[in-house]
Amino acid sequence: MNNFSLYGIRLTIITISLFVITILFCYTVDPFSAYGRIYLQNGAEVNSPGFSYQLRMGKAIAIKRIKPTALIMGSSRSAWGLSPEIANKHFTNKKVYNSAYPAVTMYEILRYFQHTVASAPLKHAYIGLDFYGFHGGRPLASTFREKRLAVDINNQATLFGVSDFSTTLFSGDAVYYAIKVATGLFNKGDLYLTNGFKQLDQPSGGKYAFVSSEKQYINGTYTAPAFTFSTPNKNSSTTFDYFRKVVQLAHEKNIDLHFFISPSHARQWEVIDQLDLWSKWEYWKHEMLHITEQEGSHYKQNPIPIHDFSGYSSYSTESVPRKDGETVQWYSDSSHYKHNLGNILMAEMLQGSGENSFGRILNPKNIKQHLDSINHDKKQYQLSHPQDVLDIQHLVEKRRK
Amino acid sequence: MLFNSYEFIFAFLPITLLGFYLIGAKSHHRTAMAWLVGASLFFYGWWNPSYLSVIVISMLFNYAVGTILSGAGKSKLLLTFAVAINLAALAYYKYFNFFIDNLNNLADTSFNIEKIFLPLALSFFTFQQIAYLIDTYRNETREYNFLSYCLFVTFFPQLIAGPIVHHKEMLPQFAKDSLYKLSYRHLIIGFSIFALGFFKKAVLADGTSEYVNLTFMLAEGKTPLTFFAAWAGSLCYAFQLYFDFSGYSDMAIGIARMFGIILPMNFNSPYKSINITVFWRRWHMTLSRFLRDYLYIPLGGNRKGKTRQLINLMLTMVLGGFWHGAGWNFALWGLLHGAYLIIHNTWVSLAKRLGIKIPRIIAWWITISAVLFAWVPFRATTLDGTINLWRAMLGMNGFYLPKWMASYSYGAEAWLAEHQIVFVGIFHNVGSTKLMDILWFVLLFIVTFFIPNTQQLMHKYRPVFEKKRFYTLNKQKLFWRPNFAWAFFTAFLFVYATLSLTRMSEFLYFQF
Repeated sequence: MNNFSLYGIRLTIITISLFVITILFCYTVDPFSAYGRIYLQNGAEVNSPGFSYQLRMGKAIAIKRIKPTALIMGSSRSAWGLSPEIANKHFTNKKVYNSAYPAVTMYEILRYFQHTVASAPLKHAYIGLDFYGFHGGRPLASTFREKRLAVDINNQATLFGVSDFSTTLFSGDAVYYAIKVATGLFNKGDLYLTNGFKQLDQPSGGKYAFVSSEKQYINGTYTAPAFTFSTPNKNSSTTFDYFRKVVQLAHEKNIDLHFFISPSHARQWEVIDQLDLWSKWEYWKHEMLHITEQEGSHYKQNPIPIHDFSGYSSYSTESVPRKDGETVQWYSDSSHYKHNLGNILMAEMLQGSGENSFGRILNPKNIKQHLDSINHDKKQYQLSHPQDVLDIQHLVEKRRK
Repeated sequence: MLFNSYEFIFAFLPITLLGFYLIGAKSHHRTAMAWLVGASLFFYGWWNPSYLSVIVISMLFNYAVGTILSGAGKSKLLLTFAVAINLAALAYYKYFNFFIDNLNNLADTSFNIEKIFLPLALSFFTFQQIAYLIDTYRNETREYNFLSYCLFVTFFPQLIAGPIVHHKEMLPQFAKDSLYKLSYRHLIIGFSIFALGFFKKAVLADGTSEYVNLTFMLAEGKTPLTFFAAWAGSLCYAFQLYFDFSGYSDMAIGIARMFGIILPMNFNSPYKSINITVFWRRWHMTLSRFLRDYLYIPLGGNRKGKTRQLINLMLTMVLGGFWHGAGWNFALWGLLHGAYLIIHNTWVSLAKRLGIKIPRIIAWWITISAVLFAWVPFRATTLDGTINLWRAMLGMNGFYLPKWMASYSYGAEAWLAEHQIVFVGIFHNVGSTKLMDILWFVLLFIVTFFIPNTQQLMHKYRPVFEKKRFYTLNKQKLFWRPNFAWAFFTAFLFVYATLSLTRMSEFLYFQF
């Protein structure tokens, strides 16, 4: 045997061995809980600590495995603000799954809704809606992959799972997180339960949390690129088309769907106002209502309800801390509500009348009065909270300069 | 299909190799060649099948003209016409949008045309074929059949981004019978070169992109960068581009070698150059060679006096800049390099006359600084971005120094702050500096400046076409040989690079 043949044999054996060792290690540790590995943390069954770094992959796989009958969706507001208690309290006889994702767009909501409908006997769904999710210029999350979802945009089955074999067993990320999990070098605060709910509440917002979140919205989320409902997608002119598809699918499959507009802090609404997006914000609600009404009458079913928790309430106008060490009760920052408010929201949506001061079901008769009332509350808030208004003004002006 | 993709590495390449050698083993050489042409067209069509027509028409046209030029129909007019047609196609696909945009800006017109997409590799295969036509006219080519010609143009390892091959290098290799017989030697040498290039691209280049993107994004936004952060950004881009493109070239050279074909050298540790002329002999060598032989020398080269030589140099570099893309930033980059070459050329004559010799380390430092300065417009997407970064590199935005240095300022902090020197950390307004980032930077630095390059490592096994050695043979202990240590190291590099594929990114040079 000459040197080259021997070298070739050695090279082949070593290469294959390294691949096999890598795959076995990643499979055993299962850093993203893609193969059903469950860990125990404070007596609760949680996903692997790496799960939170690949939420969009981990939850897509889990939905396929768990086959939930009830679904919660939305952005990080729904991912972090709705507590696991909700599952025990309101969904005792149902398999509920929290399929909410940070920085989610309406397109992704549609695609994950389609994925769940195709993968599970879904009966109930509660989708948190956020204005920024309808910004058609926002890019999809870098971890979003079409191929991993059970169906394509036209609800045709796809070859599920192929694209995630490499990510879960055969990638630098898998090895990196497997080592971190195996050696315990993880932030345990980010753990997710096996039903997709985040185990721990977010810390209460302090002096800096609010401004830091608002900066992000003012300098990026709403403005770069400039806010638009139009999409670059050839088949959908606006993000409302995605919303409409969700509504249609729910009607077609007789799914008891509820939309709810997240109850962010009043300073978040102030950001929208000062960026001159208020009229778009109102149009957004009008248009969504228009679509649910239109599709309801098309399918001869009750329109899908939209519960509006946005606007001004005793929760959302909670004073923001001005000193070090002070915190708020209901929010972790001006975008995200905490578990306590999430619990109230859920109870109101599932058991309330929909006519309370916190949360209102929109309909063609009350929409104008409802939006006028929010507008009126906004003016009151601006008069009674001049410092908060100045804070936002300062950030917006800085951006404009 | 990208070289750095699962489908290429685990499906396309093994199947193509297997088919080629299985057919070749039965002495069906022309069929094996046709298989390779078919595979190459499939490889090209993977991106966008509609562009296949462009490359096929281009091949048919140029082969037909070449046949006429090599026979009785030889005429300068035909050659000029054929070259003009090639350049017109390039101008249409690559520069027409740019031309219309500039016309609209200058003449205040409002011509509106749809965006014309550049077919992949058009610049590369157009240049190869222009060279073929000119050499045919000069009687420097032999008679080759159409199939060989098709393989010369489409051979997939070098089709997309070079090395830009010359017919004299390629066509005789295709004609050898030994090519079609499986050689473990070629396979192993090829795979080892491929693995080195793959690691350079997937790990070293892609792993550097984050800081580069951040620096240029800030420069194009409104965050003023300061001196060291700006130079670090430019240096990181220099590393990224070098590992990306030289990694790609190594992969191409390695893949071709697996088929028994030896490609020309494209990189020879350019950042080790001690003057800008040498830099251009070491960076994208096959493009430099093309520009020299088919532009600079036909323009008169250095045969028509000093002034004319300097003008030719500038013209060649500006056109070379434009070759990289339809944008004024590329022209600016070419202009800068043209100016550098003129300065160096003038300096060489002056220094000779005055008997001055600059120490090597200083000559290297000047060269690398000039190169880094010029990379800025090459990467920045706007003129504002270029100017912002240049301002920072010239110290006009001040200097941020590490916090620990404040204790050595001996009370002069306030005075220094007045002169924009503050101790807040070098990357204060860029982000926090992690130990891993620094170690990564040190690794890139060592690999670039102190480790022998791929050709040096593999030099005993003729990695590239050129028989003349362009490189020194220091650190021979590190050189590749088919032993256990290299088998392990190669396997490690290959597996590591494969694991990095989930963050797949295109090669930077594909855009040109």
